[in-house]
Amino acid sequence: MASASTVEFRHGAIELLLLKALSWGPRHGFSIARWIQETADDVLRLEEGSMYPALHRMEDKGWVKATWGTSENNRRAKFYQLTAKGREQLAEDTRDWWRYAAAVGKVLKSTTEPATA
Amino acid sequence: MTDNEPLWRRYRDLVHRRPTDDVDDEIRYHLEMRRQEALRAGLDPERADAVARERFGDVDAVVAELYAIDTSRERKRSRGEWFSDFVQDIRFARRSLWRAPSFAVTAIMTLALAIGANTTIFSFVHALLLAPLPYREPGELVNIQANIVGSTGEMLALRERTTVFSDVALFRNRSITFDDDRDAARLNGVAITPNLISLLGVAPALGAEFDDDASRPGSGNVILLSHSLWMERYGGDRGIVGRRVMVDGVPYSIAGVMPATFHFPSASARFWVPVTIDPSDLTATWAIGGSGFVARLKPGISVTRANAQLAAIVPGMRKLNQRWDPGEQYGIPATAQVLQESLISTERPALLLLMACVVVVLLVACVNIANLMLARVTVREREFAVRAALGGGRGRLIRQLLTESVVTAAIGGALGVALSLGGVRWGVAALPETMVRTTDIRVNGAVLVFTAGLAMLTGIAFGLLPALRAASPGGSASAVRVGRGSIGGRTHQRLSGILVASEVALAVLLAIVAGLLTRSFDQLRNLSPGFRAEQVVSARISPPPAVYGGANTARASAFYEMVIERMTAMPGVSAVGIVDRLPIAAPVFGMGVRIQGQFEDGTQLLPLANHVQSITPGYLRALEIPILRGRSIEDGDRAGTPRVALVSQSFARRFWPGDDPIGKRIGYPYPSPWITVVGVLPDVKLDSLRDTSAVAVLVPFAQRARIAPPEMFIVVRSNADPGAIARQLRDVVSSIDRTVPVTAVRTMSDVLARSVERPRFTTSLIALFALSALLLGATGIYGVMSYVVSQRAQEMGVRVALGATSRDIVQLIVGRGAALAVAGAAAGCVVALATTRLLTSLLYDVSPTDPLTFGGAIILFVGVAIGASAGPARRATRTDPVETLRGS
Repeated sequence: MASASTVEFRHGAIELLLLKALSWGPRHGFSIARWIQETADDVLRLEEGSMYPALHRMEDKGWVKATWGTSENNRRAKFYQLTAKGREQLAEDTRDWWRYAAAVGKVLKSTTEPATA
Repeated sequence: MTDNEPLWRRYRDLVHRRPTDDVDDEIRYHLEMRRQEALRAGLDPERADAVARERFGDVDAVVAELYAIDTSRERKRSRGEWFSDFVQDIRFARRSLWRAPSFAVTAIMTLALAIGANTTIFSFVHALLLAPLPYREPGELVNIQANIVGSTGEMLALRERTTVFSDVALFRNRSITFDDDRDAARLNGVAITPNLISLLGVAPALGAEFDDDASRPGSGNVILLSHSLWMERYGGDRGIVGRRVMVDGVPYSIAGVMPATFHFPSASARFWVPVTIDPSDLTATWAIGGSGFVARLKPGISVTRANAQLAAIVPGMRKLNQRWDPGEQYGIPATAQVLQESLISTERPALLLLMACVVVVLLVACVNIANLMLARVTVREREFAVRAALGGGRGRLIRQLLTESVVTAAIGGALGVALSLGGVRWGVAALPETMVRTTDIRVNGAVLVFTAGLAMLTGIAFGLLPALRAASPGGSASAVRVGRGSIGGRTHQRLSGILVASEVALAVLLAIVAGLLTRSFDQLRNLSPGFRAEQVVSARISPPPAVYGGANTARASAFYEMVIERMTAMPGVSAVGIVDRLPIAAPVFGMGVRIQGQFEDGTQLLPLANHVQSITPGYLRALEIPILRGRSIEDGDRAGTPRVALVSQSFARRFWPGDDPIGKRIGYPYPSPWITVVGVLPDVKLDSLRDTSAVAVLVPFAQRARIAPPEMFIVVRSNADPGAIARQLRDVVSSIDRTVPVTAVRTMSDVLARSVERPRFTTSLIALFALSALLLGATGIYGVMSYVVSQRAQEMGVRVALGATSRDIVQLIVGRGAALAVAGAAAGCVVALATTRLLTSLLYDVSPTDPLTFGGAIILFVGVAIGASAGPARRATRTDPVETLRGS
């Protein structure tokens, strides 16, 4: 769980992670949280509460569809499912993310000193 | 919380889910899973809870945020759903109306006629009573109405002495002979002070308004034309400004043309000329009256304040009159009235009555359709029951039925607007031309808004009761009634009985109003005018004053004598006469008179002779007015011979009761020789058929005419065709002088008919409304009785089986119909008793509670009810007892 080396979650990125988490099929909120936690090896510190407003807003935007169903332990839970629009959004956001990360990486690896004007 | 949530919740969710419940469940689930995870990891319960919450963050804040997101989504969704329901309802309504085309057509046509009539009448009410006058700040304009002479001197005094008005203007009717080298025409128009047009805040459409000094004597030979006159005579030629025309034989120049919407004071005004104000001419300034005064209130001044000032100032103006003392009553009362109200004051009651009646017709139509719908609800009860059983909510059902009725009303309303376009055109054509028209009468935006609102209300009015009934728990929608039964029949009968009774009540109310007006009109029409109008042709002859007026009296007399002589010679003509004011066509004015030995001092208040006419000897012969005592006016009564007069019976009775009037002497109010009474006439109606003032004096035209009046009327009695007489008259006049117009050629019978044109118009329209209400009422009774018969077929069967005769059955059914009619008629009479006294001003010689009319209306409706029930009753007698009993 929380350790010295965790990274604070950055705004906007959470939607991308949620879309990715749902790309394998419908999941309820808790299952998404657990998946992110396991996949990111506890490095990302996700304040789980912030996930829900993001999910509900994505529902408004039509990226996900919510239905009530029964969980693996036979409890009533709200399942989220990607819509076609959500799938497109995932592809697009992923591309953007990589471009962004590459640019930031390139800058950080740079060895030339900026010219003074 | 247990793993297995209660089953009921799942079912509840089928029906209704609140967004907040969902949020609670979702978050609770998440926290619970984390807690169990921690428990499995070996933490104690309290610690596990804390860990779950810590990982989650601020639970309350998240929950609040989720509430907000989900509630707003829910709202959006329900709005969308409402709309899609609405679309569905409209589709449903269309299908449902399509399935019952005869109902739909009946309802829509009834509504189209009723709403069309309402739209038509409202177009008039809107244009004449509601729409603001097309003048600047019309609320500030007032008409000053006072017991004064109506002279230019008084206008100057009002302008000087009052402080509540920013300006005061004067107008008086004027007829002119208008000659522009094509043909001379006699036109009615208005003489105005030059400030009137700017006071109203209107600019001419062409040319310029009058200069301020246009009313100075010697100037002001300018004329403004009405738009209609401009179009008629000049075809809208913009080059006519400055053109010279002859007005009463004097050259005038055309100053301009007023806008098409300018009708001051009424649509019959064809031109405006400046009135001459010459304070040095005391007679013209103080003695020529009959003018109206328009004033503009200063901003912020109320009519009440203006009234207070007028009451304080006007009576004091009595001393200003330098010709005579106008008397104690001068200037009492003196009031300001909002211009719009005063212009339309004579038409107002009739117009409001028409509006009220046409609304009642619509109400009757509503009740009638409500009844039809009620019957349909009963027919459709299985449909509703099935829908209720399948979970269709009450609210939803009511909404759907209301949509159905509002759609029906909307279609009816749209057709009604189409009908009203024709109705308004017809109505405008039927309006008397002297009717004040403030703005154009047409179906405009405001009228359409009114109609749309009306149609909506109508739809709700006739749809609500059937809809509520369809959805009521004991009503059609209850699932119990899917079977064959007809428990609802009794309730339906009662409800529609009430509806029909109220329909009859409204129709009786209308019938009473129509009856009262018809009786009043009949009284009016059967009044004897006191002369014989048949076979008399009358016409107006207007010799131009520039040639025949002023000092040229002799020329005018010679002219008239020549006309009389030549007309008398025509075949079939038995008498020809000339009179200065034709009876019934327009008011015959009177004046104060001196009576020898009783009222001799002309500076004191003199008694009034209601009417004074100057005539030639043939006038009384032409109208066959007999002489009761003494002699008539004869050819020998000329300018140089002793002055003579005839008086009416009322005149004689008033001033010389029990004494012989022959030889008594009377005189004009100003210093002049005495006139000897030589004969007595019967009382004749002069101002109108309703005229009750009969104190009248007749003098010979040859002795009266100090100044030849600008126009006289000729009356010709002849057994020849009136058209031929009219032609001969025109030929005779133009053969003597081509510039003298002959206008208003009518038979006297026509003059009488025209004088009652307005009451005839109103009466026949209301009679038409009453007839429609009667027909609607009759169909209502027929419908209910048919339903009763079909519902009680079984009962009839039993009765017949037990020995009831056809007669008994007919009595039963017809009795029920008559009972409905009596109940309705009684209610209608009560309402009528309370309201018809509002009609008093429209009735002549008929009491607003005339028992004959009330009784007639009741008998009529009971008769109609019996007639309308007869059909269903006959059907009931044909009931086969075996058939109906087996059918149960």
